[in-house]
Amino acid sequence: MVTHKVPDLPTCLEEKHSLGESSTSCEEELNINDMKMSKVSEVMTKADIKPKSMHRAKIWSGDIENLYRFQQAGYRDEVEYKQVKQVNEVECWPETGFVKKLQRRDNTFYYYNRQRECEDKDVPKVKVYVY
Amino acid sequence: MVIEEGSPGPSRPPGDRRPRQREKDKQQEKQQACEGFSIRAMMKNSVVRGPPPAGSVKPRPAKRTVFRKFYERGDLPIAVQHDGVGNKIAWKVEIENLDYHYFLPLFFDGLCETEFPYEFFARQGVHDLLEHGGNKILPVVPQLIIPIKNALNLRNRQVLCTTLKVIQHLVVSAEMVGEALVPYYRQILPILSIFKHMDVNLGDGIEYSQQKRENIGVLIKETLELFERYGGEDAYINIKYMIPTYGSCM
Repeated sequence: MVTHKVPDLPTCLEEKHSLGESSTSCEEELNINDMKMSKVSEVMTKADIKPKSMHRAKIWSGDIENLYRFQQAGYRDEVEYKQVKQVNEVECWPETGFVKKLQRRDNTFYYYNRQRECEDKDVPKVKVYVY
Repeated sequence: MVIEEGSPGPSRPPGDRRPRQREKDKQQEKQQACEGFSIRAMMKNSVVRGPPPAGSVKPRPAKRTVFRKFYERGDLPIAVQHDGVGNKIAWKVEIENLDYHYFLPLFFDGLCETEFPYEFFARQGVHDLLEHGGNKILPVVPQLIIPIKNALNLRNRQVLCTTLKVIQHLVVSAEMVGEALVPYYRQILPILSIFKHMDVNLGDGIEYSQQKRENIGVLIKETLELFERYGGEDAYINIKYMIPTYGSCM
């Protein structure tokens, strides 16, 4: 949640190079943007951010379903996916809001169903990371 | 007098029945089994044998599929990923960019396979293509009939289950697909008609294949009901024509 570890951020570095500004001004810009962004994208903007803790999911929900899909594709969660693949949006099913398509680290694609895939027996396998 | 004469039933010694049974046994021994429509069949002591089984539900040998050939040659843009949860297909290209006219019939052709990895790739590949095909599926429907017919004609229980599930998915995969299948009922339904009765009445016993969705009778019933629901006005009469024992679900 704190923005003082930004220098490693690639987007920020790009800005810094292009604009020739110092790291502090970059931080300020980020702070302003972060106010508007959602919680997920807020975390995403900090490239090197690492989760502070992890616990296992106990009950199925829409978020757990999406986490399950990200973890099947080899990512921690949406934050890491966006960092690695440098994308802003993840393709989702319009009906259910579940993740539809993910690109793996080896650039192959995983396609997911419209309906729930994470069965009750798989719920405890899902890791929920807290930032 | 009456009492004395009427007494034989319960009080008759068991030894009295034996001679009758012996006579019957002798008669049966004399009777000879023979083929129907022969001269011997007209003799008094001959018993005509029933006809030999026609083999309508006997599995047919599978041939080598084009799908297998293409996979071994490396022409299919897929790879298997072995996960802890289960195997999954990784697509090397985006499904949206695939030519459905070429790939969908090819994957349907693989439904005849029963061996890993071909069977898995075909089943999962068809599933992914149908799930993400949208409007691209409808124009390809006529090309899918022959692979479906071939798969059903194998009469292999495993292949039948997979194909029926795939047909169910196909019907609901996009709009108008159910209606586009109506002209092809003559190709698809005869096999379903043969296996429709394959549902055992267990009384209050537990049918485990029902939970695993491997009961062919139940799967066929579900499939026919989906055909009727999604097939429009003419669906029922066409199903009834091919399978007279089918009852409407609407």
